[in-house]
Amino acid sequence: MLVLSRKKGESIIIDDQIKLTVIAVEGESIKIGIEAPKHISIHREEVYLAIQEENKSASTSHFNVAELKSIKKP
Amino acid sequence: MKIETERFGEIEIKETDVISFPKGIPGLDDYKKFVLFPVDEQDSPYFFLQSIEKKELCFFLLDTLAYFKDYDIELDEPTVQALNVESPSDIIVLSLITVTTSLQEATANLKGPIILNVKRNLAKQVVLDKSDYLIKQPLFQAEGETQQKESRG
Repeated sequence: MLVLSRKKGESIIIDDQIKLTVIAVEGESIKIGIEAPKHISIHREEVYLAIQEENKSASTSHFNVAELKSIKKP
Repeated sequence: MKIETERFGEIEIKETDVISFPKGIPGLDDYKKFVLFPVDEQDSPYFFLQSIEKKELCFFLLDTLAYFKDYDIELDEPTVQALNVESPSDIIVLSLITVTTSLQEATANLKGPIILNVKRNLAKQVVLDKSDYLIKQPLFQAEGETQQKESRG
């Protein structure tokens, strides 16, 4: 892993097309501005990991379709 | 073409029915080709998404807008581009259903809907970072009166 030190207002350029800028530093919280081409998807890691986990759970779910008929939507 | 499935045995599908997930489904990134078919029930909002590459892999899904009438999302530009969406009528929005114990406790993932361009059979799971929709929205429980709740994700 590459570790770089940056001050508020400074940026990092990745692959000529992605720019990360430190916008604000407040205690343990850092605001980062991200400029990237539209086809690059950007996610908060914890949300992305939660979606991955949920997909795995969904893929191993067992369901009996016949049960659907006996369940009434509230 | 014939494919082998665990749930349905050997089934015959048309090559034109194969749906591509060019980036796969996060967490199961290796599988990119699926077929979608409705659960055999009239006007059912439920679908199966069967992998044609792995016979055991079959998702159970919901036509999100048919079930959650007030569900609304805005497709971002990367998704519109990736799926070649030309008109809103090109797409359907599906949610993966997770069943851990009984079907009564089934949940739908409203935070990571699958967007399918039915005209091009291209699909992608999008992650709605900023929305309050739940990853585990109960489908059949009374307290699931609305999906707009504080996100756990």
